[in-house]
Amino acid sequence: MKRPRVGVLLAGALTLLGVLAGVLGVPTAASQATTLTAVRVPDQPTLDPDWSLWTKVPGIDVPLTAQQIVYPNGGGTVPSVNLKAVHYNGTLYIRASWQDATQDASTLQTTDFADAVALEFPAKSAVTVPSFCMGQANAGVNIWQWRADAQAGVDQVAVWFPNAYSDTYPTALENDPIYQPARALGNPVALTGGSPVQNLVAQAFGTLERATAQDVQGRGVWKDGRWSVVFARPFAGGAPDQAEFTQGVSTSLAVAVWDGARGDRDGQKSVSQFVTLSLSGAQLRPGAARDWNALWLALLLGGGAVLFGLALLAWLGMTSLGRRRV
Amino acid sequence: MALARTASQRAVIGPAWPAQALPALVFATLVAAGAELVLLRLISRVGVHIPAAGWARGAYTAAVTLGNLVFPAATVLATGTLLVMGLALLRWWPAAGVVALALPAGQLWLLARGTGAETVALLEALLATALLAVPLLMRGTPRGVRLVLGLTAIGETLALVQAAAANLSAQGAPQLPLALATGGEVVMLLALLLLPVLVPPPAWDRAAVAAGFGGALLVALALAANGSTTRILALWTFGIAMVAPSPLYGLAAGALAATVIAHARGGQPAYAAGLTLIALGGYLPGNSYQATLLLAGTILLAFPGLLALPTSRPPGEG
Repeated sequence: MKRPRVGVLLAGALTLLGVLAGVLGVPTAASQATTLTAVRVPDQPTLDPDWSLWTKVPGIDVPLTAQQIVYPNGGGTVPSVNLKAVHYNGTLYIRASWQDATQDASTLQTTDFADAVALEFPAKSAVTVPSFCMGQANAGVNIWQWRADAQAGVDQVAVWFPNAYSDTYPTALENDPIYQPARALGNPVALTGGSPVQNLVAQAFGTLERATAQDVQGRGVWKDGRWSVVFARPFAGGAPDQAEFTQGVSTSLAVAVWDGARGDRDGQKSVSQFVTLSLSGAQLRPGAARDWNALWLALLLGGGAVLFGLALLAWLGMTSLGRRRV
Repeated sequence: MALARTASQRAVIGPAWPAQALPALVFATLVAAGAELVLLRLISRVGVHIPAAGWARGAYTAAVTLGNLVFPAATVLATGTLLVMGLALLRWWPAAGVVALALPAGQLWLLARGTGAETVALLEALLATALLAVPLLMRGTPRGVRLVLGLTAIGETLALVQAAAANLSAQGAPQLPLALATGGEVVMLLALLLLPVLVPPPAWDRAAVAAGFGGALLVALALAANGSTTRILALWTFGIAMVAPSPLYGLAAGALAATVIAHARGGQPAYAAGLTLIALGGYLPGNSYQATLLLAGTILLAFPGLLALPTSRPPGEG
């Protein structure tokens, strides 16, 4: 066969094969993104970030950067967040932990901003991996946002304004929505009780809204200059705009952190790229320990032996050439 | 070329078709990978700015749909090209051929096994080993090329090791500092900045100089117009976090463009193709397809004679 034809035919065949694979949905590449593995745990977890088994669950450090795509932009003061994940009886638990020198849990004054953290997942209905910046037109995102002020509640009025006084309202009107317009309109900041985690959906900047179902639980603890927050939600997402989880299936996860002391709010935050969240069927075995020193040494020696062998082969090839020179 | 001269002195083993097919395959891979980078890695990621309706949405959807078809085509082409490179090298230089074949073979085996964190860590280790092996196996190539490949291998390996440790965290692997990936990017940037000196073409014509200025100007304008969006796009498209001062990235883009164009027009076409494939593979490749591009480009730089191998038995041998 002539020289050009072989290559052209082969290139054409490979191109057709690739397009066919794409049409049939056959994966042709493996992702090499950082993976957070959620292992199955033998005991029911709690929302306490200090739950005993969390220390046995390995985590990953995810780097964060400033949000610079749209205004308000900025953030980037939190360099990384540590993530751990487990699941038990069809419920996913994710623990996020990051350094924060101050505990900012009040937004009573207009110059106060609260610490917060949010997890972002592709919506069940997304046709492609969405932009990690709040999703896009054909691929929405489901966001779970925990806020320190939502957890602290609104009982701080007496703390900040100890001399405040208000007339009493007639009992019959105390809970009348006409006197509580924010709550009547469903302003999530005004709503009290329930979980400090808001379940939100978005399909690009400026489209963020509260999801119909508020089924994400969470709790955060600040200790020794570090926040630790646990999120929990059942695998099944009710609506198409919710994330859905299945054991054995991977999805994507991105994180955003707000440092209230630095004025972080809205788009001014520290954000991550998507990492892969893999829900493993393997059970956590707290007692099992791998000797990593021995393994690293074995990998180094093995890798070194392979490279040395290849170099030796190459050198032997060169010397045999010299003897067989035409 | 070094490989061709050496190859003519070796016994011929295996068929001649890999060498015949390689130029067309490399060209097809470059076209497909370039289209994938523009349509998928670039255009689809700016969907956040596309309005939900109207002609812009229609054009965006069409581009993304095309990109979703181009991606698997580029993946299969890249893997096929690397396999054929390996077969061609196996014929003349068995050790290098083994390295070229090991990555796609490993990827196919691991893909069949199923993707998981351990699989990904193994893929990353395999790529790092292959990249480090290539400079060791080079013979007769200029020192400048060896240095560029060495810097590329070191830079990529630093990031791959850090990422592999993160992927093995479920097995209790200690987390390595993110500074490893940052340092790796600086090493890669250095390799790009030194390209015109280390991989010089026989001559710098006006087109190459214009490409160099154009590349640098494009990056500078993009950073000046909207630095934050440019940085995000650089991260999505090429995997670089732009940790160094911004002007250096403009200079690096200009150096790469000038060197590629100069070699394509009158220097060593394999260098032009190899450097382009490495750029398309990106830093800390996000998937096995980009890893394949990276290794294919590395091998082309190391063995430029691959695109001009003799296809018949050398004279004097029966």
